[in-house]
Amino acid sequence: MKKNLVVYLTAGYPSAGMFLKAAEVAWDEGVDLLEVGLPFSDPIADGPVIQAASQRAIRSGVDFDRTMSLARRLPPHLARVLMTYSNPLFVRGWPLAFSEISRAGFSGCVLPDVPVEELLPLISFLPENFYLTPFAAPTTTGDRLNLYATAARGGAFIYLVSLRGITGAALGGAAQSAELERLISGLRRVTHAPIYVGFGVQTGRDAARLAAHADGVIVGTAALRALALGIKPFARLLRELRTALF
Amino acid sequence: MAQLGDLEAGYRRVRRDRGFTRELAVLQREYAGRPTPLYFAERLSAESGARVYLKREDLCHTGAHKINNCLGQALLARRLGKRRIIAETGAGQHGVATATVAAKFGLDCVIYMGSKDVERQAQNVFRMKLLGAEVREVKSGTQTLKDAMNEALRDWVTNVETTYYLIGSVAGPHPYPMIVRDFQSVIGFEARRQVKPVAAKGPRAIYACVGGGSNAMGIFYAFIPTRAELIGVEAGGTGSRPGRHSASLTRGRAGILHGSLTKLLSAPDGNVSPVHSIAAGLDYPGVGPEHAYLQRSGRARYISVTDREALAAFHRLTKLEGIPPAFESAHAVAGFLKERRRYRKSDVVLINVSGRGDKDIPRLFEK
Repeated sequence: MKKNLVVYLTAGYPSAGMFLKAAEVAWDEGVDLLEVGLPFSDPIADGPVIQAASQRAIRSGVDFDRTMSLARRLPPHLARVLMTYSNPLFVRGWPLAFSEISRAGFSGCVLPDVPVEELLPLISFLPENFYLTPFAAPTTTGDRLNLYATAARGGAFIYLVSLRGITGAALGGAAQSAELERLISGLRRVTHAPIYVGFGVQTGRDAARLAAHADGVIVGTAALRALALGIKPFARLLRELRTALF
Repeated sequence: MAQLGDLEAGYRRVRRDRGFTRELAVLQREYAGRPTPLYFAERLSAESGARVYLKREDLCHTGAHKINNCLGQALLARRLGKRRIIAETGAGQHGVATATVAAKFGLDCVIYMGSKDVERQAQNVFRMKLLGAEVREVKSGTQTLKDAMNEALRDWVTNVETTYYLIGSVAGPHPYPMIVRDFQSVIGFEARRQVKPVAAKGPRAIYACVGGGSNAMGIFYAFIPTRAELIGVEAGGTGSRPGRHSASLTRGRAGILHGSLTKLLSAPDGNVSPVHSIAAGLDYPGVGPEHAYLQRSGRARYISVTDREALAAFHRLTKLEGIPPAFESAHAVAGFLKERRRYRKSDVVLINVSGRGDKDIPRLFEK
């Protein structure tokens, strides 16, 4: 079965032009979902690569409004979600922020510093056809799985963190795969929402291994690293990932 | 999230455990040097026109109130079976206190500290290393306390099964603000007992400095049900523009950082603003969420004083009483001096001297 490929890009990184170009390449290479990072000053879930990209984007003036206007120039049929932390949306007011994000063409929002318990009260602020993605991790306990079923509505996927750590960290071996498989089958018992695995995916082999039981993989750090080298290495990485996920 | 749940459950278990409470009480007495005195500052009183008492947390082992919390949490970590302790530090006082208890309990210890603070507080870095802790310099972001906390959180999610994250202030995600408040509340409960003989009706007012807010919460908590006025003093730095102060309660707005909804210094786009204070321990853009609550409910009042006022208060207290306070605690003294006309001669005012100034004295030579 074909697995979905989700690629993360920090908005406006390395430059507005390169970001848009990379999104076009992503569309051409058959990326299923683009995760656009609205950069935040204190990205506690992110490793050094995404931290550096966020800081650089913030310095070059990428904020909420700029991210929305960049999003409007993305390939029109490329599905997209917004990744950020809670404060940039909180200070705008949740309902206003969600409706603006939705109007800019995003189908949902990924907030790594909001645990599923805190996500549930936000659901009432969501516009139509807009979702919030809950995060699950190897440390997620069985008694909380039902919350994921409640939170993952309106087409939401579940973001399954592959490891104990931050984005771009080193993947574990067979023990990790077994652990993820257990967690995925636990989630499958309570929800039909697609499950995408992310954190630490560097190569096509990683992607194929992690996607084995899930519905897709999310690649961020490796994508930014390739993009920093240029559009060609970025396209090469996407092709490698895409091929591995068929 | 599951780990925070486990932490809360573990904490609630030990709070009911007599053995734990007794063990902690013994350590506070014999290791930390509690109870700390409540000292009548005679010359400061004569000069300021109120009866001023200083709560001498500066006399605690390691030179600040931070040890109260570290002892409690280290015992908790041991009960939870964790062998490795991590912590963030700004001024280095919490780092030193954490490294101290880690040495005492034979636990591995890693301290995260922003590059700027490593430079500003070289002596404390050396102390932590002497105590056997590994000090990891944090070069990301603004290279201060909040970035150290980001990095400690990243470490924690990576090593969560083996590691206990010993947060130093009443900030961070629940249950930390509650745990730290409880372990620091010993300051206020002692002070309430000690002040009784001199003020049967209790003190008129209590001053404490507020960065994250642990020493203030520690002395305020016991007095919440009394009539004492509670005043938290924030770092006004060198001006009111963003980046020149760290007065989250008096100049910030509601925001979310490090797992709590509180008052925060952030730009209109939601990014956290850079902060400044002469006192590295106050250099935090957020503040404990319970302070935000006390402010909103009106039970406590928050003001700010500038670097210059804090420095003047440092010299005042040193000259009048022979007690050089930490620059952080000097803010509390400055806050009182600023408001001294509110008080009559018979009013009893408490000031929490949360730490001693030894660590800051080298910086006075530089200028």
